This record gives sequence, C-alpha cells and structure tokens, in this order.
Amino acid sequence: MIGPHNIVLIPVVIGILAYFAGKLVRPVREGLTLLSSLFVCYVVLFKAGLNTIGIYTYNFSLPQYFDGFRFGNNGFSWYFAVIIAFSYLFVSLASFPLVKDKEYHGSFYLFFNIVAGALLGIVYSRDLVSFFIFWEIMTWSSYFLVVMNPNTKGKTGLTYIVFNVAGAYAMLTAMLIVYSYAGSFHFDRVVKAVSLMTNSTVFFISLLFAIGFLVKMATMPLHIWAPDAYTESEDSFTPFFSGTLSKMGVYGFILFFGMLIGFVNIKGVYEIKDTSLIGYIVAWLGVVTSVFATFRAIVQDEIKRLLAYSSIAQVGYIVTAMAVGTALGVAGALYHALIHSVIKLLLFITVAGVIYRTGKNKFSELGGLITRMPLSYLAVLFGIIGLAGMPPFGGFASKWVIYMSLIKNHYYFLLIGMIVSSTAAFLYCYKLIYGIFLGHPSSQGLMEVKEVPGFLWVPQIVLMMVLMLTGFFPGYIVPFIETAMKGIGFSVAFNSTSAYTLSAALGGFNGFVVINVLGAIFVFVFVWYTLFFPKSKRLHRLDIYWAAETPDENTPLHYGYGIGAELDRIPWVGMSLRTHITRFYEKTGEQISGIASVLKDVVFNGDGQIYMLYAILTLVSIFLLMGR
Amino acid sequence: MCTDNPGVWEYIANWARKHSIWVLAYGTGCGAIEMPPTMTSRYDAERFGLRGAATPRQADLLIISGYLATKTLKRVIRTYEQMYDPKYVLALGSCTINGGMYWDSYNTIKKLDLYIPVDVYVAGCMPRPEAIIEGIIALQKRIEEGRAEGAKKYRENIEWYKKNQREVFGDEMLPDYTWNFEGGI
Amino acid sequence: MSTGMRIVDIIAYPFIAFLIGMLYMGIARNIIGRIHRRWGPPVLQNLIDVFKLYRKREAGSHGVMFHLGPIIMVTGVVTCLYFIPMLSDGRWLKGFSFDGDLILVTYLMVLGALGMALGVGQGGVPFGVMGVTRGLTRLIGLEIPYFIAIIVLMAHYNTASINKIIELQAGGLSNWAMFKVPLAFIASLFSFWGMMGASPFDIPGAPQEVASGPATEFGGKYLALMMSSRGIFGFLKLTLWVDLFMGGAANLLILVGKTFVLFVTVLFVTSVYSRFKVEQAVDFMWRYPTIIGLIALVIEMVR
Repeated sequence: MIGPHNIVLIPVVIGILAYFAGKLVRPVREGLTLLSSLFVCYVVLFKAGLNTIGIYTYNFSLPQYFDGFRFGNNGFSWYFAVIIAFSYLFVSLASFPLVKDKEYHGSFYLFFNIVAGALLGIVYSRDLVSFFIFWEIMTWSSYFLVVMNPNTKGKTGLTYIVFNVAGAYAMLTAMLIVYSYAGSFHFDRVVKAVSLMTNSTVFFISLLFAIGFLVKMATMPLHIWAPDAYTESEDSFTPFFSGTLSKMGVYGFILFFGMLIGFVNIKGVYEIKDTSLIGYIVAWLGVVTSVFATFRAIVQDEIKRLLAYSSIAQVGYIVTAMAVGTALGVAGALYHALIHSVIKLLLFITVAGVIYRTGKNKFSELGGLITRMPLSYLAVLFGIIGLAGMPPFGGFASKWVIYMSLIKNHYYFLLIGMIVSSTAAFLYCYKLIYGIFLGHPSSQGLMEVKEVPGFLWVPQIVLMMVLMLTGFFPGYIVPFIETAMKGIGFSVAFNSTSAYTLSAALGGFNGFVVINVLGAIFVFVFVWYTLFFPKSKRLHRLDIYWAAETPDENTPLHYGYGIGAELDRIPWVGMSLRTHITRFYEKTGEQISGIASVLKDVVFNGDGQIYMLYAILTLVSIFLLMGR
Repeated sequence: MCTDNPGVWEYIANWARKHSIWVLAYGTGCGAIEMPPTMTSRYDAERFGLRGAATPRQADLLIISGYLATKTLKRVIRTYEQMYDPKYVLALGSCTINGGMYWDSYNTIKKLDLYIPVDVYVAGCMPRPEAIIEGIIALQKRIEEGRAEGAKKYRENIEWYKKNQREVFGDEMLPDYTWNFEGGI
Repeated sequence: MSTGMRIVDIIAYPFIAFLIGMLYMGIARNIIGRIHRRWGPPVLQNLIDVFKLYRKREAGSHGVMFHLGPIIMVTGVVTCLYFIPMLSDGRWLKGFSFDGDLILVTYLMVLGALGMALGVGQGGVPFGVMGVTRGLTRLIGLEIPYFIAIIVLMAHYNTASINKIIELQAGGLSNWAMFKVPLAFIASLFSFWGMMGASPFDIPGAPQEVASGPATEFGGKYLALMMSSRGIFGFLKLTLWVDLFMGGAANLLILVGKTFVLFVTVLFVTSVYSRFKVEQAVDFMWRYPTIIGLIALVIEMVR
C-alpha cells in the first residue's frame, strides 16, 4: 500500500527510471514525471488525507542505539504535502515545453523528481535522522538544478551550497545535542527530552535550528545565496525553488519551534513581551529582511531577480508571523505560505514562458506585450494583486491575518516595519507588470511573439482560480489551517465559522461581500460606459502626448523600466541600497584567510617536532580529563 | 443618449461647454506673455470657467498666440488633431490673420485659417488681456448658439486642409495616424 | 427598513458622495481664488466641468486596459466608500460597513489608483508612468504616519471595526478620538493632507512637470470618470477621518458640517505652499509626522 511512509520513493524511483529510459525515447521523461506527479497528488489527497494520522516505523534490525526511521502524517504535514504535490504537478506541466530542447533534459528530470521526493520525505518524516537525510538530498539535488544552467556563474552555485550546507550542519549539531539528551531521534521522545533540558541548552539548540531554517528561507543576513540562485537556476525549476522549496524552511521552523521544542518552552528562557528572545530577534530579522529586500527588488532590471527579491521579502513576512509564536501568528504564516506558493508559482511560470517566447529577461528589453500575451498579462495581474496584498484576492486575506496577529499581541513596531515594506511592494508590482506588458515594445520583433506555450495555460488558469476563490471564500481554508495547527499543538486561532468571512482578534471582513460589491459596481459602470457613450477612437501607439512632437519607432518611450531610480534620492532608502551585505562577508572572508595564513605559519609550520608536541599535549589532556 | 441630434441635452451641454473652457495656451509668439495676466489675479479669467489644461487630450480651446513658423505650425496641427471634439481655436494677433509684420517672411505662414479651422480671431499687435477676454466671450456666444463646430468642419474638409498643409510641409508631412482612425472601443 | 428602501439607500450612497465631493472641490477653487485676491470660479464650477467632459463627443483609447483603467478607478473608490459608514445613528447610509474593517478600507483606498495605473501603463505616455511612479513613491511616505495613527486608534479602542470606533466615541466632544489620542490625529492629518493631493504633496499630477501625470493621455469621457472618482474619493477621505477621529455623524447635516470644517482647515494650510520633490515628500513624511505618530504609539503602549 502507498502511504506517507513510502510515497517518497515514487518520485525518486521515477526520476532515476526517467533518466535512463529517456536515453532511448526522450519524451518518456515528461510522461513519467507527469504520471508520478499525478499519482502523488492522488495519494496526498485521498490516501494520506487530512485526518489520516498514523506512524509507520522501519526497524531494519539496526544497532541498539538507533531505533529506526519513522514516517507519519497529520494535518500539518498534510497542509505542506498538498502544496508540494500540486507545485510538483504544475511545474512538471510547465517544464514540458520549457526544457524540451535543453541539453540537460535528462538530468533536469532526474534531479527535479528527486527534489520533489525529498520534499515529501521532509514533511512526512517523524524522526530527526530521516528529516536530516531528506533535507540533505533536497539541498544537493537542488544545487545541481541551480548549476545545471550553462549561464549560471560559478559563484552562484558555490554560495548556494556553502550557505545551505552550513545551515544543515548547524541543524545536525543541534540534532546530536538533542539525541544526547533523548537517546532517540523520534519526535515524541525528543519532545519529552526537551522539556527536561536546562534553559541555556534549549536556547542553544533553538539558535542552531533557527540558523538552519533561516538559511532556507533566505532571511537576512543569511540570504545572499538567494537572489543569484533564484535568478540563474533553470527557468522551469525556479517556480518550485522559490514557491515551494523555501516553504520547507517554514515547515521546519514551525515544526521545531512549535512541536518539538515548543514555543512555550523557549519562552521560559528569556522573554520579551510574551515571546522568546530568539523568536523576537527572528521576528525582527524577518521584518528587516522584507524591508531591505523590497527596496532592492524595486531597482532590479532582470525580471527573475526582481521576483527573487520579492520572494525573499514575502517570506520575511512569514518569518515574522511565525516567529512571534502566537496561535494567530502561526496561522497567518501558514496562510501566507500557501498564498505565496501560489503567487510565486504563477508568476515564475508565466515569466518563464515570457522569457521562452521572447528570449529576453530584462524589463529594459521588453514592453508592450499585453496585446500579444493577454492570458499571461492576466496571470501576472492576478499575481501582483496577490503579491501586493490587495483585496479582493487571497493575498489580502493572508496579510490581514498576519497584521491582526501582530496587533493582537501589541507588536506595533514590527507591524510598522511590515507596512513600510508592503507599501513599497506596490512599486515593484507595478514595475513587473508595466515592464513586461505595458508601455512600448523596446526591442525589435516583440510585436510578433506568440502567447506562452499551451502547457503553461493549465497551471496559470488553475492558480488564478485558486487566488480568486481564496478571495471569494477567505474563510474556506480556515478549517484546514486549524487542523494543521492542532497537529503542532495549537488551539483555535480564528473566530469565524463560515467560508465567506475571516474574523480574528480585533475585527473581520466578509470577502464574499467585498468581491461581489466590487464586481457589481464594475459591471454597472462598464455597461453604462459602453452603452451610453460614443465609441472611443482607436489611437495609434505613437499618437501620444509628447509635447507636440512626433515620436517615431526609435524614440525610447518605454520609460517605466527605470522605476526605482528615484528611490536612491530618498535619504534612508538610498543608504540602504548603496550598502550591501556581501561586502561584510567579503571582509570577513579576507580576515579569516589572513588569520588562517598566520595560523599556518605558526601552528602548522611543517616541523615534525612541533606536531609531536601537539600529539603529546593532546594525550596528556585526554588523560587528565578522563581521570576526573 | 446619442450626441448627434440636438435637443434639450445638447442645449444643456452647450451651456456647460460655454462655462467650462479648458485652455491649452500655445505660446508660439509674443502673445504668450499676455496669457499669464489673463489667467491670474489681475484679470482672473477663471471666473468665466476658464482653466489651464496640461495636455491637448484634456483641452477644449487652443489659443494660438502669435506668428507661426512652419516648424511651429506642424506642432500646432498635431496638437489640434490630438484634441477631442468639440474643440475651439482662438487666434491672437494680426500675424495669424494675414501674416502681420511677418507678411513677407520666408518661413512663416500667413493665414492660419488655411490649416486649421479658427473660431475667433482677436486682432491687435498684441491684443491686451481685455481683448483676449472679449474674444473668449465672443467664443462663448458662438458655443451657446451651437456655431463653434470647428472640429466638424475640419473632419468634413480634411482633404482641403491636408492639401494646404502639404503645400507648406512638402515631404515632411505629419503622420496619418493622428486624424485617420479605424475602429474603436 | 424595507428592501426597496435599502436599495435606494445603497444606490444613493455614491451619488451623495459625488455631489458633496464635487461641491467641495468647487468651493476649494473659489476659496483659493479669494486667497489669490480674485473672484474665483463659481461654486458649481467642478460639476459643470464634469458634465462638459461627459458630453464630449470624442475620446481616444489606446487599448482595452486603457479603457478599463478609469472604470477600475471608480470601482475601487466606490467600493471603498461602501465600507465606510457615512452616518452613525439609525439605519441609513451605512453601506456595507459591517462586512469590513479598517485594514480592508485602507487597502481598498489604494485599489482604484492601482487599477488606473494599469490603464496609464497601456496609454504609453512616459509622463503618465512618471506620475504613477511618483504617486507610488509618495505612497511609501504617506502610508506610514497614517498606519501609525490607525494602529494607535485600533490599540486604543481594541477594535478594527469602524462602526465600533464611532460607537466608542459617543458622548460628547471630549470622547472624540482627536482629543483622546491627539498626537495620532495630528500625525494622520499630515497623511490626510498628502492623500488629498494638496500642495506641497501634489507631486504625481504636477501639470508643469509631468503634464498632469497619470491623466495625461485621458480626455473626454475617461477624464470625466476620473474627475468623478476624484470627487468621491475626496469626500470618502473626509468621511473616514470624521468617522475615525471626530466621532462620526448622526445625520447628513452634521456630516457635512464636520467634513467641511476639516476640509477648509486643511485647505487654508495647503493653498500657500509650493511643491515638494518626491524624495522630499517621503523624507518629510518619515520625519516629523512619523515621529509624532511614534510618540503617540509609545504613549498608547505605556498607558
């Protein structure tokens, strides 16, 4: 029987199979991947459903001190498994046309399937060892997907792997400390052991875990791998990378801080305003990340880099919401994780299609595509409405929950920081849609391109529907979040019971009424406008007000790609844009290499006698310590 | 609510048009300096409902303030074509009537009426703000009586106007798309 | 209330706002004229202007989104209006304010402008895009004091519902939020000043710099719709401030009185300033109003 304990194997096996079978018949790879993703969706929805809670243990007659791998399912795992399964499906559909003619066709499908499997493994694992193994598989196979693209610079892959492996080893250290207390890797035993630990140990391991997950969520100052990796990875993998892979950090963070260590336990250690010190610091990191990343997103010229920074900023909101550790905060984080996955899948898939059709990836080279790609325009429009958190779509609902959670627990300054970033987000949203679709075409041949390939329409339309439905029924998703929260030991966070309304803490709103009022007024004005007024003349593209001059085809009219240039002149923002954290890392690197060369000269100077001395000193110190 | 048949709606509309004239003051010549006093505190044209418009799309009235070199004429015509019906032209000074002191200049045009339909001329060199206001009141009267139909005249006699324009511009004629429209929304 | 009356009530909602808003804009032009020592246009001038624009025989469109831009703008503004209660007593002129809260209203206020920005984008005029960019950049500045003020308000009354905030201000002048949380009111007033597009914050539509910005390419019926929504939007903001800080209004007469006082106060201050650059506006907003707001917030947290 297929269930949470072995669903992991399906994508992995299919991936390997596809790699070899594809050498004979190339399209087999696409077919197998699609089948596998459909099957995973089926299993996640029907075989390992929301209320299936079970533990499966593998005990391959291992030594005494290791009590086997464990897998299991609960509402929380299910919530993330659904996100993974559907992004797997959408991305495998989207990669049909996008990867078809690439020379790394085979290895793409191999590693992509393995990543999807590893993600499922992470959410279904119920012991630290399998969690860590799948975490590493995810890191390494995504590394290959990043460096696969021949345009990727060497530094990108290196930064990505260094940061992620460092994060993973911080996590491993923490896991081993936990094991030394619990004597087991199973989650239930870990929970018991953590409650007996001293405060400083709890603080230390939660710090190490936090580092591991913050790297994955690209929170400042551990984010510098993200913009390059998101931008330069294969176009059809980026939706999965930014939309889903980054959510594993969210999953891990909530899992460890909510379920294993418990927000209550770390709270006792050092406490600020009902939140642990670590939680409070991480919450501020999230806000700072989102503010800085937002301003940096606005000034980008590459489409994918803008989206990469926007992704960092949006995950910053999630980090803040869950780090404060209240029930409503975690609920908001879960809600926003889903919405952000949907938006980023939609936007990155659409952008990949645009890049595929035009061969251009900069705003300064695009423009005016609305008449050529109406569906993609609509997709990006829906995406930015969600990204900006505007009503009436789902983006507003999730942001609303986060705001409410912060107001309820009096984190006003965090909220103000978040407002700065979410207001500035309008600018990059507008730049995204203007730079590609509006304005004037800024290179030759743009007016002859076709709509994105048909395989991309399915994910586009479905994801747009999801955004629209979450706008109509913001409360529909609440029961699922509540179940997920029960899985990690939180009680009820929302007040609402109906699908139409979302209500918590200080207020509530009825999404159904909002969207219907909007729709009714729009239709009314539209009909009145169309029926009772003379028809408009269809103006030529160049028939614009240009101070009475006559612009021609070569006049540079696609101005808007430079949105953000004036940000530099705003005092604080300008300063933040001019400083860059990589410089800090470079300085640190120089210092370390300096110290290392001194060490090399003094300590490891190649003299045999000195090495002998070290050996003897070590032995002596061991004896002294053993003797005590 | 069709706009073609004059009726009570058109009567009210003409009344509103008369009291709300948005001006695009085209500072072609020396008359440009007469516009600021007309609009500001001294003569306060705003009490007649006049108001400066920033672009031709929003404007009702195009004020040509002085002589027109062929180079300027091109811009004037483009601006005029970008304005929306109903639109009016008020020409200041003798230069726009018969060339004025530029009557034998090699690069100015002499009769503005040959290139775009003019509703009201204000003679003088230069007319003072009082005269401009006088001209605007004359224009208001024409609007109220429904006689300020320059846009219609231009549309119906477009070949004649274009022929005259082509005589001045020769090869450097304006593009067609500002007056030749296909389809609509 | 019968269903028929309810429908009349709902339909009347935007038209009341439109009429009063346009009237206020006319009065503003007249008052500014008087400040300039001239007669100024008649009070009804803006209504005449809008009527004339609606009766323009032509308009040009650059495409579907250009056509939809003004429609989305008016849709966003009217939708936002419906979620702000005009009257606090009785059952009249409440709109749908029970189905929304302050955060929803805050976001809906931006919706129209963003829809418009898409239309401007398809219009393809560089001046339009400059105007939109200026507007969005200015928004970064404006929203901060405004949000601080409403956070103080929500913290003070422990609710996000506008109707409840009005209810809690009942019982005399001293209960009004503008006296309960005066610093927050002052901070929000700066934002209000900017949101009304009054000098020195009239950066996006500066006629001398960017040829009226977003409105550059719109004429005829499009401009008419934009002007109508601007009138409604002006009254919307006045109503919101009256609801939040001045205890709401029991009937239309009181509403007109309170909004007029607020409007004229801001008008007198603004009509003597010249224009900021956009970065100066953001800098100003992040400096003085934000500091005032933060002091209010700290006082609220200590209290």
